[in-house]
Amino acid sequence: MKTMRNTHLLAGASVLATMFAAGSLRAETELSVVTYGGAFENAVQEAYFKPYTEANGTEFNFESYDGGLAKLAAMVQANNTTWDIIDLESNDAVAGCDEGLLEPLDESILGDTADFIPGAISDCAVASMIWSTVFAYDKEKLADGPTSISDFFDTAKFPGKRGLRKSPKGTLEWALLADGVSKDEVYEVLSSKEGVDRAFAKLDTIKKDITWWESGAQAPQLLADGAVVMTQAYNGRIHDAVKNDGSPFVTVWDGQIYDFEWWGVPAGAPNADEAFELIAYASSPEVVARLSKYISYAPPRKSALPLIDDEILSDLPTAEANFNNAVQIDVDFWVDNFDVINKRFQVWLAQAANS
Amino acid sequence: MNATVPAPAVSPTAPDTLNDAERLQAYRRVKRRESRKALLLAAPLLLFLLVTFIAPIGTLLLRSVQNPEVPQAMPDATALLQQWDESGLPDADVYAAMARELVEASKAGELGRVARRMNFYNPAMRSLLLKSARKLKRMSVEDAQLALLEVDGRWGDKEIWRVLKRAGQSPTPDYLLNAIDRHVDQDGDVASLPPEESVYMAAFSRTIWISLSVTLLCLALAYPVAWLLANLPERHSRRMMLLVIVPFWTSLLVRTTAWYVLLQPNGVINSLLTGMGMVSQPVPLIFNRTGVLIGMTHIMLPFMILAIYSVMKGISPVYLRAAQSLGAKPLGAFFRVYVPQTLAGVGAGCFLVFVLSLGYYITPALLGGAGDEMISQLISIQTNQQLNWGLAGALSAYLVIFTAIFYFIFNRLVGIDRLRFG
Amino acid sequence: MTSSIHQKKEQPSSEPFISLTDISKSYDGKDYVVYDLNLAINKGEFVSLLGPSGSGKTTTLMMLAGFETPSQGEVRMGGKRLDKLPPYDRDIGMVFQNYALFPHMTIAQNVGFALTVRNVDRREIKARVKQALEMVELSHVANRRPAQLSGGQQQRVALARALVFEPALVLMDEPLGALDKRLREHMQYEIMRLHRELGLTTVYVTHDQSEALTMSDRVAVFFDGRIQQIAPARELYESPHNAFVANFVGENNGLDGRVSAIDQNTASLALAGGAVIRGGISQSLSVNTHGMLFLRPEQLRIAKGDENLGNRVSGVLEDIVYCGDHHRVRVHLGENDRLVCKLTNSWEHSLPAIGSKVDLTWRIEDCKVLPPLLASAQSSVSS
Repeated sequence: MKTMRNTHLLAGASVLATMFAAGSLRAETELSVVTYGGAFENAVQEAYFKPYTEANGTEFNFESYDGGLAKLAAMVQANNTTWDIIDLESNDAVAGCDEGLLEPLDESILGDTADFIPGAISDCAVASMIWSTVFAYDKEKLADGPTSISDFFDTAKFPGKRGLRKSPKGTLEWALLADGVSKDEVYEVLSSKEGVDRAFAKLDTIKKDITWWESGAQAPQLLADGAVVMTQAYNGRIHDAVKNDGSPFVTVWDGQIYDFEWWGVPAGAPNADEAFELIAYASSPEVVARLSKYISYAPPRKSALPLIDDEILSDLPTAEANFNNAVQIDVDFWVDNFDVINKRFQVWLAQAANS
Repeated sequence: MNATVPAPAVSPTAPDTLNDAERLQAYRRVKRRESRKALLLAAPLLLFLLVTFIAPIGTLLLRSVQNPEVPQAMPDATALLQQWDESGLPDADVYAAMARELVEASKAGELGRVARRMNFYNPAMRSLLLKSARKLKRMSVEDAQLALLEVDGRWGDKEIWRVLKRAGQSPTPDYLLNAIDRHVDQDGDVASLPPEESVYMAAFSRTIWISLSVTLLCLALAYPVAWLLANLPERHSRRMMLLVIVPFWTSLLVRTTAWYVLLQPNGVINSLLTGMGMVSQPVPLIFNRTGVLIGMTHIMLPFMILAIYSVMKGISPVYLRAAQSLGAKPLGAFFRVYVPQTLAGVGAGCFLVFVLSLGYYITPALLGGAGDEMISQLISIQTNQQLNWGLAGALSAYLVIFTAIFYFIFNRLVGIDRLRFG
Repeated sequence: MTSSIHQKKEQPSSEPFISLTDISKSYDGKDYVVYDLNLAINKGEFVSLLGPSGSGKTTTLMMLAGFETPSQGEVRMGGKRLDKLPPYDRDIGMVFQNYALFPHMTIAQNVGFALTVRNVDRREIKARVKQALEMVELSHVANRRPAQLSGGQQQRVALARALVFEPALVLMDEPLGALDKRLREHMQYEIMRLHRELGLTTVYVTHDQSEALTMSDRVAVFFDGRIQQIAPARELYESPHNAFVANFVGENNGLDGRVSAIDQNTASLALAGGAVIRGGISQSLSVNTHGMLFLRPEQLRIAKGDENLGNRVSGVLEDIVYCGDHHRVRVHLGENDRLVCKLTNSWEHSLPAIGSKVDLTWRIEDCKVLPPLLASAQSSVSS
C-alpha cells in the first residue's frame, strides 16, 4: 500500500516535472514512437533512442500496437495524427504508402542507397531490420533433429505435433518448398490456382499433426511445454528463449522466410522532420549494427555486417550459412491475394476440423 | 305490484363538457411537464449512449452499404461508367477520364484506397491500378485508350470495367452479399461464391453452434449452483457468491491463460490423468472445440449463475412444501413447481450468455484449433488487417440482426421482459 | 364430491384419530423448540394451536405435515405411524400462511395439482376442480392466475386446493394472517362452514386468540415449547390453568401477591398495598408463596354504598377511556397495583370523576389465585 502511494506520488511528480519541462524548454520536442513493443522495443531503445536522446536531447515517448493500419487510417482520416514514427510490417508499409497514410521518404537522407539490401527502401519507408520465420525444435527431446523444411513435413521420420502460425502467409510457401518447388519459383507457382491447390495438398499430409498458434509468444511456449515437437517461430523469439531462458532449442534455417521490418512516418505527423532525422540516424551503418547486440535481427545494410561480432552474426538470418535456402516474402503478392487465399485457408481449416 | 315509473333520464347537473376539456388539457400539461423532467434526468445517459453506442454502431452499419472510395477519387470516370451499357468496351471518353484520374488520384495519395477497394472484387485489380498509374505518370498520353492498353492488356477486358462500374455505385449491396458468401456475377445475378471461398456462412453457423453449446453447458452447470446459492443459509451463500464473482475481477486473458496451463498436453489435467494411469496418451483438451467450450463456459458461467440466482432468490421454498403437501414427490415438485418459476431467469441467462458468446473472440483464438474460428475473429481480420471496413460492417450487421431476432424469439418463449433483477 | 369428501362423524373411540406422543424437537440437542408434547385429536375435530411466535405451535404443525421430524416421540394418524412417512405420502391437506399458490399456473391448475400428480383421469380432474371451485364460490376465476386475484379469493383457492383430494386431515398455518379484519371475520365463517359441511379434521395454527376462540372445538395454548392448556374455548377463558393462559387468552388483571391463607376451595392473596383478595383455586398452591390474581375486567363493578360481592378494594380512579359500547376505567390501589374494569355504558351517568376515591367489588367465584409463571417464561411474557 505504502509503495503504491509512493509510486503515485512519483508519477504525479514526474507529470508535474514534465509539464514544467514542457513549459520551459519549448524548443525541445518529444517524438511519439509506435512499435510492436516487447523485446524489439527494448532493443531499439537501447540501440538507437537512448543514445540519440543523449546526443540531441530529443525525448521519445513509446506506445505499442498490434500492427494493422486501422488505427493509423482512422487518425489520418480524422486529420489528427499524433504519432511521429511507426514500426511497420511489410504489408502495412506497402499498403500504408499506397493509401497515403505515410509521408513520402526522401532517399537522400539515407546516404549510400546502394549499400542497402535490395528492396529495403520503399517510397515511404526504410527497412529497420530483417527478421525471419524459421522453425525450431528441442534438442533434448529430438537428439537427431530435423535439418530441412522437408523434415518439417515428414511425420514418418519425426512423428508428433508441429506448431504453425494460423495464417496462410509463410505456411503455403513452406508447403511448396517441401513439395520440391525451388525458392525462386514459390510465388510464381502460388500465383495460379493449381499452385495453391498443390500447397494445400501438401498441407493435407500433415493436417492432423498441426497445432496452430496466433501470437508470436505462443511458439516458444508450445515448444517448452512439449505440446509440439517442432514449431514455426520468429527467429528472434527462439533466440531470446535460448539466450535468456537457456531453453535447449535449435533453429533450423532451411526454408526460412525473411522479411523486412520498416520505419515510417505517418502522414501529417506533428514532428515529421525530426522523425526523418531519427530514422536517418538509426539507419546509419554504425548505429544499425548495434541492434543485433540486443536482438537477433539483422541490419538491412551490407556495410553494417562487418561491424557485428561473429558470434552474434551466426544467429542472424542473413548469415551466409543460414541464407542458402531463404525466401524473401513477396509483400505485393500477399497484399493482392491475402483475402482470397485466406478465405480458402479458413475453409480448409474448418474441413480439417471435420475430417 | 305497481308499474314503476322510470326515473327521468335527465340528471340535475349535465356534465360540463367545456370544463372537462379544460381539465383534461391541464392534466396533459402537467403530465407533459413531468415527462420532460424525466427526460432531462435521463438526458446525460441518452447522450452518452448516443455518442458511444448508437452512433458507432450506426456508422458501422452504414459502412456496410457505402461505397465512397472510387467515386471520390475518380468522379468523372465513375459518372461516365454508369452510363455504359456493358455491351461492348466503354467509350473513348471513359478511357480518357480513367487515364487522367488514375494519375490524379495517384498524386493525391488516393489511389491506394481505390486499389484496396477494387482488390476486394478481384485480387488482380490492385496491382493493375497501381502499375498503370505508375506507368502513365511517366508517359505523355495522347490516345488514352491506346495508352491504357499499352500499359496493361487487361484494360481491354470488359470484366475489369464491369467491376469498376459496380465499385462506383453507392449504396452497394456487395458487402452484404459477400458477408453471406454471395456476389453479383457477370450477368448481374446474385450467385454463390465457389466453395473454397465460402467462409462466412460456415463461420456464422459455427459461431451459433458454439454459442448454443456454451449456453447449454452453462445452463447445466449454473442451475444447481444457483439453486444452492439461493437456498443455503446467508452466511454460506455469501461466501460462495464471492467464489462466483471473483472471476469477474480477474482479467479475461489471465483466466484464459490459466486454462491453457491446465489443459495443454503436458498440463495439469493431463499429467493427473496419465499419472493415475487413466489414459496412456494425453487427451487433447486444447486447440480444439473442447478447449473452446471449456474456456468459454468458464468465462460465461457467472452471468448464467447470477441471472438464475436473482430469480431463484425470489422464489419462496414454501412452494415446494405446498407441492409436496399436495402429494408431489420431491423431484416432481421441483420440475412442476420450481423450475417453471425460474424460467425467466433461465431465459435471461441463456440470452445473455448466447449473445455474449456470439461476439466472443479472445478465448476461441487462444484455446481453439483449426476450424474453431468464430465470426468476430473474422470481423477483426477485416477491420484490423484488411482494412475492409465495409465487409466488417456487413458481417457485424448480420450479427446485430441475428441478435435482435434471437431476442425476439426468446422474449416470446420465456419473456425476458418480465424479469426483474434483485 | 361433497358426499365422498364428507366423512361421517364416527363414534368417539378409545383411540384418538391423531396422536402426538411425548414429542420433543430440538435443532441443536440443547434448546428445545417443542418439549414433551402430548396431543390427541379426534376425528372431525377442529383444534387450534394458539400461542405467541416462537412458542412451538408452527413446529408442531410442521411435524404433523412432515416438513419437520420429531427428535423424540411418535406421531400417529388412524393408528398408523406418521413420522416415518414423507410429506407427500401423508394424505394431509395444507393451507399455507401466504397461500403458496403456484404463480405460473391458473387457478384451475392450482386446484387440480394434487389430482394431476396422482395421475387422476383428466376428465375427472376437471369435474372435481369445478366442484371444488364452486364450493368456495370461485368458478368464474378458474382461468386466471393467482396474481390477478384478491387476497380473500386467493385464500379460498388455497382452501379448495387443499381439500380437493379429500385429505384425512387439514392443516392451516395462520391462513388469515394477511387479510384485513372484515375479510378475516368473513373467512372465519367460511372455514367453519366447510369444516362442518365436509366433516373435516382440522388443525389450525394462529396467534390471534379471538380467532382461535371463535372457530375451534378445542384450543391448545402453546408457550415455551409446551402446551400450557388444551381445552374448549369457554373453559380456557373462564378457568385458565396458569398465569400464562390467563394473561394470553383475553384480558386479565394479573396482580401479584402473596398467598396468605388457603381453605378448601379458596385462597387469600395479599397485595403489596395491603388489600387481601379471595378467589378460587384450580391448581395446587401453598401458603406464603407467590400467587397471581386472575380477574377479567368485565367482572368488576364500582361498589355503591357498602355493596360487597365478596371482594371489595379501595383505590383512586386514575383514568377513563371511552370505547364505544363500554368504558375502561383504571383504578390505582397503591404501590404498583392497578385494576382495569370494563363498565357497560349504562354506567356512564354515574361515573365518578378522575382522581376521586372509588371502591371496586366482585364475586369470589369470578376470580382465581393462580400459581405464578416459571421464571424463564415470566421474563418473556412481561416484555
